[in-house]
Amino acid sequence: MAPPFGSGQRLHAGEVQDVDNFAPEVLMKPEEVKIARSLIRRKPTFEEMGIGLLEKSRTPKQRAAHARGLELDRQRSALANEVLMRSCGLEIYMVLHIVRDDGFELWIQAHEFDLRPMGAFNQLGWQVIGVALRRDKSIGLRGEYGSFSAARIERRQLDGRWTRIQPSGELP
Amino acid sequence: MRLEPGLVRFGVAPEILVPAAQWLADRHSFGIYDAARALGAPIREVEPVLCAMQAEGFIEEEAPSRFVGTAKLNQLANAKISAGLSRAEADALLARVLEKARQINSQPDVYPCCVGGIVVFGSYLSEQPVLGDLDLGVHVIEPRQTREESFKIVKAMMAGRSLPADKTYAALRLRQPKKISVHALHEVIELGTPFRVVFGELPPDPRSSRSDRPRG
Repeated sequence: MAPPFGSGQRLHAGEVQDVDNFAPEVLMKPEEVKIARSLIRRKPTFEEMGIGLLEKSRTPKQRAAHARGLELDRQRSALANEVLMRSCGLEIYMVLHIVRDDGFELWIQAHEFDLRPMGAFNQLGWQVIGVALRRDKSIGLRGEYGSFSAARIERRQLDGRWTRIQPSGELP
Repeated sequence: MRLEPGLVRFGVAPEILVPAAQWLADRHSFGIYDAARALGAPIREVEPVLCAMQAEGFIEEEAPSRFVGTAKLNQLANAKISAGLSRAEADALLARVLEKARQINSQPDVYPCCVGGIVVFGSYLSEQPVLGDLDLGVHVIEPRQTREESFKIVKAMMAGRSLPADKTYAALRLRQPKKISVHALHEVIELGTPFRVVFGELPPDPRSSRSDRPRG
């Protein structure tokens, strides 16, 4: 029987119901959320880093901001890798099939995880950067990226089976 | 080399192992990160696979944590993933190929290049009950061409279109490229592998003409 109108269970076309909540605020400790927000906030803008300018045309201030931005990227990525490995066993080089709650689908080999602002109200989301899989699901060469928060994630194991990845029960 | 579908080797499915071997065999040397990239698994899962491959002689350690592929890795990269071909099925396929060759030779208007000879080689000549595939070497005879016809063929080749001989090779494959492997006869002779003539006869010098080289 269809759920009654207004029960909050109805989905829009293309939406997926069977998803897990991977929201960084859920998987991370409160102090890690603070650090993540700070790392995102402190990232210099493209203008400050002189992105788009030639190296020799950048001012010393822009060069320093660029170096600071790269270091913040590295720290954010390291934090994302650590939290995802600890909370749900996601690691780089895994081959993943991600289906987001809005129906968006991603076949990717993860080379890097990152944190980014997502949605309204200062929420955070995960970003995965890597290479796309080909139609036969072999690892391709084309760069691919996507972000997720609530999603159904499966990984390909070495024996060829696809297993679902879910947040573990020992969350903070 | 042939890998059974669904039969894991080093704990890795053949559908993952063969493309990974191709990726690694293309490199002069590779490290654990390259192997993880190729296999699509985290480092901690890839390490035992590399150890097992090293123990079986597929890779060798060139420097600490740097590996090089051996000839066995190249074989693995070129391996076919198939359940194989029973001898009875191979015999039936060979009979169909010979029938097709007779048909090609009787229709010069459809197939401009006729079949001069067919040899069989590879696992068919062994005593194995299950073969990898049916390996054939084919000598294709091209008709004598005028200057204009030769020019047309060269133009077609430069435009990326198939050559007249390709039609003959394609017909002999019987639309079963996973079961029948067709090679040019001069390639088989250059390989030095034993073969048996099953159709027609061998040309006096198959290496003299390069016209029997299949494309693709």
